[in-house]
Amino acid sequence: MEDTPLALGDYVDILNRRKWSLIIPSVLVVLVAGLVALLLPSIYKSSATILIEEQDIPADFVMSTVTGYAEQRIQSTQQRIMSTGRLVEIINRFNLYPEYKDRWTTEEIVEKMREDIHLDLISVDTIDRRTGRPTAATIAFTLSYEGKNAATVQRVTDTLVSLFLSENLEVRKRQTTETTEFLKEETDRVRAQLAELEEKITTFKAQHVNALPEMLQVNLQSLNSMETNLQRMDDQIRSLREREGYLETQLASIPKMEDPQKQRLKAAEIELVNLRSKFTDDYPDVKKLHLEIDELKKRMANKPDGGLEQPDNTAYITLAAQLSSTRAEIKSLLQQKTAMMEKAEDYRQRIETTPKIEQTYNALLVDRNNTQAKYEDLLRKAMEANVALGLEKEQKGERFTLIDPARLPEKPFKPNRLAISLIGVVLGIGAGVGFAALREFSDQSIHAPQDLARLSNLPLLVSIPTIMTPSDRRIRNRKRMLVGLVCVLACVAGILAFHFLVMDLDVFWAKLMRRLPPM
Amino acid sequence: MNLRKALDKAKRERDSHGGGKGPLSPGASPSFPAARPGSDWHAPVYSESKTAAIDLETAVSNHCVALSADFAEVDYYKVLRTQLRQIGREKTWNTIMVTSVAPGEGKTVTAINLAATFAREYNQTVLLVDADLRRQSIHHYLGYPSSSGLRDYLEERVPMNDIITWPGIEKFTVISGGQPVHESAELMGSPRMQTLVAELKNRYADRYVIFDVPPVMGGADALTFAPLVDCIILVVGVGITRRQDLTQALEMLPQEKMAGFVLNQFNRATAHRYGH
Repeated sequence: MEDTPLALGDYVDILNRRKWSLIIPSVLVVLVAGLVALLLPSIYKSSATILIEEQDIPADFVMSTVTGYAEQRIQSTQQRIMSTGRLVEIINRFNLYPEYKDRWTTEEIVEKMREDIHLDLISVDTIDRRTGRPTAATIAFTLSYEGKNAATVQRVTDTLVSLFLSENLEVRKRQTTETTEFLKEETDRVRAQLAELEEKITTFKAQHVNALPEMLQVNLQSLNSMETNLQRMDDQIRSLREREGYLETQLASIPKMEDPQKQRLKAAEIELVNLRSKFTDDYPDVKKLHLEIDELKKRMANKPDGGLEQPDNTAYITLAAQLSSTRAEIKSLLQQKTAMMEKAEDYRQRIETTPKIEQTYNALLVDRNNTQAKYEDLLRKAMEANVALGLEKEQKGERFTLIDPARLPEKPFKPNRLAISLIGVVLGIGAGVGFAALREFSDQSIHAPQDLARLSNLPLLVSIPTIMTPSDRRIRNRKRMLVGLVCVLACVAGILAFHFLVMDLDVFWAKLMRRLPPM
Repeated sequence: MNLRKALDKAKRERDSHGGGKGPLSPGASPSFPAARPGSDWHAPVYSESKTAAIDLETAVSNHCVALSADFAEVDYYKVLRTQLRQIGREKTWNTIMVTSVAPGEGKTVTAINLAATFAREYNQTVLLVDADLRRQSIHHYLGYPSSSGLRDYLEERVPMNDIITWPGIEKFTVISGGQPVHESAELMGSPRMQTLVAELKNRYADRYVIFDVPPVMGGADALTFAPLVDCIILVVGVGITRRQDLTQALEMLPQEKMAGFVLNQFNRATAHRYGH
């Protein structure tokens, strides 16, 4: 089957053939679009702009305890405001959606209201100072509400905005207060913990006061010096013992006693001998000496012999005194040595126990230090939180400021009747053309001699147009007139029916004028 | 509109002046010339036939415009006639079957107008046979009553002469009327039909016999009847005949007898119309 390009005449033929397929869908679609454009209810939108103001005092000085991005907070506040309970309250207060009240459930109406509330963030492109990358910073947001009644829309938006602002304040205050309180509690708790630990350490120290690791050095030194002392003592004892021996030998060679009568006897005897050599026995001196000797002998014989007598030899006495003092010294040194050795044993004991104690002690210390650090950290944070609380109380922190309150919308925001109508016209033409094209292309019937030529090589004898007799023309004219008349009548009837059944025409006209965009 | 009214008025006046007085008398219409003086050909006198009077207004309102001389559309049928004569002259064709693919494509009107156009030729007689046995309609189109038709002859109730009607138009006879029959295909293929066609073909040398046969898609009538005739004209109605139906119909009909197509109701906006 060859495809001959369509000539202009063929298009005219197609148009002629399909004019009703073209016109009826077009007109229908345009009519429907027009009706939709006119009958859609006007939707008013009122919106308020709220500025997000950063905190006045630089964040380097006072760190707010309210963290997170403003966007997140806005969203969470929005969720809180748009809770079912609050929306139901607003719906009841302003008697919103009366037309749905009978047909829809509360849940559906609330859902509808959620759809009508819009929150749009206004962002500017900035460069993040810390990272140097371009980011979008939210500086403000708009809260808007859509509805059918302009005044109600404004009031609802107002209510929503005030709810939003108070909710935000409350959230910030709560967050700050909670932070402060939490930090305070935590600080107290850690402080108690710390005190407990300190107590433990003190007790431990008291228990193991000598074996503490920090005493190890001292103990070692002490032990060392004690050992040196002991050695020295040993030396001393040895030298004293030598001296004792020496003194003992000396003492043995010295008579204990020194008798003056004996010495006098000895001296008298010697003098006697001496005198006798010169004198006779009768010489007085010799006689006197004899007597004296006898006396002395007598006295000596009378005198009981033995150690009962105190030694009176001075040398002896001196030596004996020296000996006894040496012995006493040795004794004292030995005593000292014993004491010293006991002490050294004690020290050795301490040094041995130190490592065992050290473990426990160190654990305690680490615990204490950690807790201490924690405590200090918490203390600092609590102080910061306190400052932040002051910031919030003074409303110097980041806050929302209403810069553009909700206004009474003067013009409906939706629907764009002109656009709907234009779209309707375009769609109508498209539908007409599409329908006609569909009819044309799906039409399997023969329309032109070419169609016949394609199907068969039999000759086309003649092409005869539709025969129009005068009566045909009359009938056709009459039919056209009738159709026109019916159309006019139907229009009039429709308008009348509308006037009497739906609404007065002048009222409708006024409504229409109000809805049409001002030209 | 005014122009059209004026034209209509003029036509009406002409009708009332010329042949609007009811049935046409054979010599009254100037478009149907009687035997010309000096010619050796004489119009047959249908003494054996029934005589009926056609109602021209009814005929015209049924689009049988070739019966009147006032319509430019007649020219198309003259073209068709000329074409057929040129094809048929060599092969001595004189039985023509007019059929279509589907009903409502205008084959009956075409058959009537073609027959009337043939009858206008001065040395040609025409017999128009309504072979649509299920629905005899030609006499209704022409606006005369008839109680017997092809069926009555085929069922051997009446002789042939009794079913041929002369509707008062020179050289133009019609077989149409009677009760409808349902087993039409059997009658169409009956030996008596074969005899009839053969007789009609050979009875007069200068006669065209035109059969109005039911649509090909309507039943077996056309296919049964096709072998009996000399040539077949297929009427194709614009916007009615579907391509696949046409292809199918062409496959069923004998190719050698196909004379060609008549494209009916072809209203091309850009087509040139004679006389308009």
